[in-house]
Amino acid sequence: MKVRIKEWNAVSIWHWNVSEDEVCGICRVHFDGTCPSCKYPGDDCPIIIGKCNHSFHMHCLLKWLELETSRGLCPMCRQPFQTLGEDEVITT
Amino acid sequence: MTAVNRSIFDSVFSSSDLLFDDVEGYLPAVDTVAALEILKRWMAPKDQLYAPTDDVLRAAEYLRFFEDQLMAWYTDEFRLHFNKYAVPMLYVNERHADQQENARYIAQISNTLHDAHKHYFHPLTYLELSDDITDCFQRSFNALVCYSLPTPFFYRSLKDYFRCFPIISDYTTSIPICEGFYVAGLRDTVERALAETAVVEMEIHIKEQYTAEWALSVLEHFESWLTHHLTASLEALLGRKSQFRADLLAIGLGLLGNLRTNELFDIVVDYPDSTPALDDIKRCLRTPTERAKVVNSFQIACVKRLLHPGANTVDIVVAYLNTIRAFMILDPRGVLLAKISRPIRRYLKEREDTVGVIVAGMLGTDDTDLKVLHEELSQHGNKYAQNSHGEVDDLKDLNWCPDPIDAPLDFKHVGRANDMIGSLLSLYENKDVFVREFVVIFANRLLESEDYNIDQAVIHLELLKLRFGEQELLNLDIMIRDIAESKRVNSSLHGKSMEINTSSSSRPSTLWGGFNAKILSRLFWPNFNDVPFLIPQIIKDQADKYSQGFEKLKQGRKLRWLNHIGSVKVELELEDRSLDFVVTPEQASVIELFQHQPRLSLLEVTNQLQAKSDLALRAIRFWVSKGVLKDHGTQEDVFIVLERAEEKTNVNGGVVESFSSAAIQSTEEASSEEMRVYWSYIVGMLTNLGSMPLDRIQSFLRMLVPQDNPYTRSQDELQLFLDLMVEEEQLEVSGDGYRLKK
Ligand SMILES: [Zn+2]
Ligand SMILES: [Zn+2]
Ligand SMILES: [Zn+2]
Repeated sequence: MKVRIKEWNAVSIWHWNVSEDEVCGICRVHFDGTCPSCKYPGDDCPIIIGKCNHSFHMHCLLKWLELETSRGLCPMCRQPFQTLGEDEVITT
Repeated sequence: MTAVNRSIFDSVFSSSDLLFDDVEGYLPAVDTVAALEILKRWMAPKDQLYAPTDDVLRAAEYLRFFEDQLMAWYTDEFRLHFNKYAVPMLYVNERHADQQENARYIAQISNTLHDAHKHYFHPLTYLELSDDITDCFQRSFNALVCYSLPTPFFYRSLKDYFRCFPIISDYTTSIPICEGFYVAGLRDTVERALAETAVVEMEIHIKEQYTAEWALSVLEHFESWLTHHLTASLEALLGRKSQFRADLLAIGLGLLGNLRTNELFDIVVDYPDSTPALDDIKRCLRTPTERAKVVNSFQIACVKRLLHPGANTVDIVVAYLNTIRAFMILDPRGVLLAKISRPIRRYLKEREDTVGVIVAGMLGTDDTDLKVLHEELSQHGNKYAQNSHGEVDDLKDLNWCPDPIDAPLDFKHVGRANDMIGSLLSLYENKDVFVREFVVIFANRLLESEDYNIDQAVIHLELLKLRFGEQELLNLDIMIRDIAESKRVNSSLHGKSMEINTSSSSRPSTLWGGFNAKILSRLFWPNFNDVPFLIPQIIKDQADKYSQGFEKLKQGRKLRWLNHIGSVKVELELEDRSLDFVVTPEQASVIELFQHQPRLSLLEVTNQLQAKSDLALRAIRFWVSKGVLKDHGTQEDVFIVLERAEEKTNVNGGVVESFSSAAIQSTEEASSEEMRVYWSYIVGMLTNLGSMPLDRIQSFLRMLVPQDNPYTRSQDELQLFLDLMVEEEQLEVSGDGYRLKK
């Protein structure tokens, strides 16, 4: 017998490249969900990973950094926030 | 002296005709004693009626001298005469069972009394008696008649008589008979019998003419019949106008109300065709007692005929919607509706598939009576748009009327007769239950959709948003977007629209065109259970390539494959035939193993698949049922490829191309036999939920069958099994669902 597979329609789920259980340190929502101001997950609401290894929804972090009191620090570890893999410090 | 004998009562009153006494005596002097004697002689009741002679007339001139004396004597005389001759005519030995005899008896009494009256009053017409004396005699006569008649017996016979000669059809026969009774002072008795008879005739008329006639208002017809037939005949019998009509109308409306109250459940089921009947009932229902009776009898009918496990949920929902609209006609204040709808609402809420049935109705996916919900959603969706709470704008509702003070809190939603969806949504405290159902239905449909087609889903979502609000349906939005985005990614990874990694040296070798994927945002879809097993290596390679492509396309994101979801098109080339199938991924994976080894044991399959053995076994059984694999026979749990179709599956003895229907039938039965382990689940759900469509039974089985031994049959397999159960008369097809055969 020869089995010829003519079509294979598969289903998958996507997830950000962080542990699936982890939640955003600011809004406490899953990374695979959205920040409080976004409607659609994924492309529209990306995540950002800091050098300190803390991750956030990008929009959550930007809002945080906009605050005077944040002084550009990671809200989790209070180190200056820098994205992983890039040298530039995110500023407002 | 001549007498013409006409009466049938010859022995008593030979004739009503006047005779003239030719032996006329001479009255020589004015002598009161003689005058009295002359009058007595003339007045004494005889067989015949005689006109007064001149002597009599002259004697009558002295009446004032002996009026009392004469009449006292005459009263005694007529009593004796009546008792002797008339009374025997008023009695019969027993009630006449025979209607004709009874009629003769009644006629005989009437004639007797009529003639008696004529004879006894005849002499008085020639005498100038004082009014007092005349009245007194009249009373004596009436009293004697009353005393002499066997009253209860007579009354029953009279009613029997009218039953035989109905007022409505035979009244002309009865007119002279009634008149006989009237002159004898029996008017009250006769009127009472007539009134009772009229009510009986009305009842018969209503029952015979109006039962199950709901498409037209019968009230007008009834009133016209009452005026022009019953009352007209009745008045002819009474010989005068009467006030009976008003009383009869009131009684008749009550009778009609009773009839309709007893029919109400069927009238509601028949809505809207039965609207005229509802308008009629409304006019008949006037007292609180009548209303209470309606509530009571409708509730009993509901429990008996609707709110039981054997009833189909669709039918209950339809009946509920009809009940709302019907009772809003009966009682626009909604108080009756509130009382009646409560048990139906409670029952519907208890049924597990109510939400599913309503949702399917709104989406118009099932061809049931609830398609009206889809029409309402499509037509009126906009009306609710401006109000996010989904409430009707009162200003636009032409049938608006203020809520009654005694209406319960949930009344406002229940009572909107023109808002069926609102009435159904109000069954539940919030709309979440519906949204969850939408998510499941949309998930199934989107995952099943070929070519990433989302058009239908988008249309449905837009309609639902008008009713449920955009925010509430965000999940559906995201699910649809996922499929649209999957289409873009899929095209892109297949190099159809976007070039990927053109410059990169690590460019993956081209993706196979037959491998397509849907990529879901996991938090917005229903939970998918993991069912671990290995897919064929060549497919896994494709999936890995796909993942790599995705990770390049969508930085920072990864894919996790749900191996057990999806569909596979395979073509099997065997020595004598080639067969095409659309199967589940696990079925495809199992048959792929047999390509390399035409003989495998269950354990080998399980090991190679790294799956639980029951998953493997079910997939093997599927292929056995399709005539592709075969039990080894001697070695247990060993299966071999059936390279050449066996006798029984190969009817023509030649090559079986694709699906030979004969082959399918015989092998399908084998598969269905395997499904019997799920029969108890199916019986359980159909017992509780009545009728269910195939796809819902399928999803319920997926949910209900314990996960340590999950249900992985395809919908086609389930259908074959259910059809087999229909053949075995365990199930029956209802609408587009299945239900237990009663
Ligand atoms: Zn966040
Ligand atoms: Zn966001
Ligand atoms: Zn940090």
